[in-house]
Amino acid sequence: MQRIPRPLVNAAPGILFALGVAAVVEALARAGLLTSYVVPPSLVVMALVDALRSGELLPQIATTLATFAEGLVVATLAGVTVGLLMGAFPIVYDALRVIVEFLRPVPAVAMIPLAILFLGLGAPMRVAVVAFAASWPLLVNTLYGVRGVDPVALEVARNFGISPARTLWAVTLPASLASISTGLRVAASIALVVTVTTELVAGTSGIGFYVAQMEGANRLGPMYAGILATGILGVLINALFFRLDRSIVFWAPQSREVVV
Amino acid sequence: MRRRLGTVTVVVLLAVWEISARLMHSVYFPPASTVAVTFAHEWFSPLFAEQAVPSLFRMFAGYLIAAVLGIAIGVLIGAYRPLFRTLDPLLQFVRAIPPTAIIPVGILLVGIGDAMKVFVIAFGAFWPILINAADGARGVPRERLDTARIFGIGRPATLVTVIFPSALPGIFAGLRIGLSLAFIMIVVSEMIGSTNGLGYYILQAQRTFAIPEMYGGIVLLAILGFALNAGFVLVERRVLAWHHGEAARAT
Amino acid sequence: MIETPVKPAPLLDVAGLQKRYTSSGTLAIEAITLTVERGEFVSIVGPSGCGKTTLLKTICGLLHPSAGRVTLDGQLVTAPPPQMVLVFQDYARSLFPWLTVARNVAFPLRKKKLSADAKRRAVDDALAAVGLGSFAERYPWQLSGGMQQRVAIARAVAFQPEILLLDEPFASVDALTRAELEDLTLRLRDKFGITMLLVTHDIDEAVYLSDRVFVLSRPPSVVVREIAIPLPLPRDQEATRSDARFLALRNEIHHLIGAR
Repeated sequence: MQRIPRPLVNAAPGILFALGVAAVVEALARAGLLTSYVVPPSLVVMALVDALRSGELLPQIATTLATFAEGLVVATLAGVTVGLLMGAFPIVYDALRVIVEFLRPVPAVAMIPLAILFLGLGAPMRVAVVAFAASWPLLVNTLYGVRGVDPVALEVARNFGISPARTLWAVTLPASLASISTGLRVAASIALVVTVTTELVAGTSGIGFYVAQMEGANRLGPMYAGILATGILGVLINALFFRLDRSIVFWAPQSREVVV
Repeated sequence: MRRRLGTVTVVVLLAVWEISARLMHSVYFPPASTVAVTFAHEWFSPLFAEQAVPSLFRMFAGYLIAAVLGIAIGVLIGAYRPLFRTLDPLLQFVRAIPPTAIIPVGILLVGIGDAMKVFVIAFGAFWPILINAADGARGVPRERLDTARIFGIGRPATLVTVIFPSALPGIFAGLRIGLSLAFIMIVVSEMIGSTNGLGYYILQAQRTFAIPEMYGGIVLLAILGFALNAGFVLVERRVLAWHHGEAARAT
Repeated sequence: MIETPVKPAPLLDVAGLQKRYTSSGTLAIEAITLTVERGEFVSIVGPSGCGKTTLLKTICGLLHPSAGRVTLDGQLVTAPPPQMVLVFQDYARSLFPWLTVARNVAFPLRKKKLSADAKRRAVDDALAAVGLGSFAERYPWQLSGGMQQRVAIARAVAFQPEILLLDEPFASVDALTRAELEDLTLRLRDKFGITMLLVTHDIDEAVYLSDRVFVLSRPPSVVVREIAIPLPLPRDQEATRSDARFLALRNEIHHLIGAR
């Protein structure tokens, strides 16, 4: 008899439980025992399928993903660069430390009005806000990663007469990769949340905008469908970046974990 | 000397802001001095009590609920492996939903008002606290649990005297994430369905083109966020002094 | 007719103990039979991987035997009995870092109905017995490895068990500290009358400390030989170890383990 793979056996009770909860909510909602604002899960799933088929939802998902990706790219470039410089050059660290400590706790959403002012409503505004939010874990983790680089490796580079810039690129960066990878994973999760949030608050398109629209139009099924879609997206993106993190850490020379 | 460099940079940047703003004469970019004056005028006044304090109260209320529930349930889940395995997939899914997406649901269920905000804040902060508490409780070294059994300590007492303290570092990691999430949630929930609070103030300022006020509000948020974070670090250092000591020794 | 005196029943009676690993199903222990008399110092030696820790945990009642039985003082062991305490090899993982040394030692007393004074006296006595009287208010992680293990032993002693199980307790400390701790264990046996069952891979240590030594085979393990150690008491690190009989016994055991 073939053995069922372990991960499946382990996940089975959890999946059954989740389905069980959905079934209970379904029964209660249909029996009218819950407020009419709670839609039975089966109808939500149907609404989701309908919205996807009718082409109502797909462009919104595309917008969200585009904002997410662009924001994450900008955040990576900015966060890793500044983190590298701060980690490798103490003078840069001293100069920027106060600003970073002050800006970091500012919720990205507070920047939304500011971004609207300079960039208007639309994609650039959203990308800017997402980039702001997602830069911090990348910056901090890059900083820690650089700090954790084996000083012997740096000594060797110096002995060979390699310039500081080249050392940064060829020695420090690869050695900090594991830490940066963790930062990327956290940043991705933040980027998605901030994308949806920005769309909710001041969006003109995207899943968050869709959810707000449906709530305003009192189309509850599609509203929940939109929320369900964000959940699915979130799970997929988390899983993707978790895998990415794992594979980078696998061949990276150092393994130093920092949870931001 | 090194520490001064940070302050010097800030001063230089403020000067650059001041000078370039005066040169540019843009409505969107008021000079630092104007923002400072507006800030002092707005916030060193009853406005603070009217707008900022209620925000903070709502935030702490939601955070407290999330913390108590999250820690209690999280430690329980973490301590009982079968329970964890059963709940984990559903937890992973719900935590992936951006908590702000719940705000429209909150508005429908509870209307716009304090209850909605507290609910939404609690919902947002709950998941990271729960998951990190569970992780902390799961990571208790086998030897510690065995030691409790050897000395005849029953299950409930073990949970409180062995598992919970062992999980504290994980719990605090979750509490820290939860705090910053609560802060975000209060701002967002006040931007969406609200007529008062800091989030509403900033958004409204932008809409009515009260630009220096908008900047001032953002600065206040930055100060509050910084203060919350610093306060948390202080508390954590106290409570987890033993953990920091132990970790330092291990290196 | 002269009646032959009846020998008192052994304190610990392990009969035909078998243990299968639950996760993999492989047989760790095939059949182990041994006894420990009251007041004795008994060691178990064997090649690495022969399931010595599993054996101690099963004797202690933390694990259930797959077959056979363990009897302590005439009672069947199904759960950790209060007369038996197990001291782990990894002291760092078994002590509680959030409690001071004194509180760690007092921890097992919370179950016992003693007055606060009596508890404090028990803790002070135990700490004095292991030589850590002045370290009561320190934290375990502030102490050296050897001292931490002494805290673990003090904690066990404060509980006033009849028998102490020691799982390679001195494997993680340096040689000098190990000698001190060995002598400490002998002194504790003499002072408190605690029976000792020690598991170790160090043959010299086993011969030095014990009245009897059980030699185990490779897994699935059985008792290969029971060897009496008729060396004079009290033991002395220099005198005993240079005794000709010591070397002979040690070589015999070494040969037994190597041969299997």
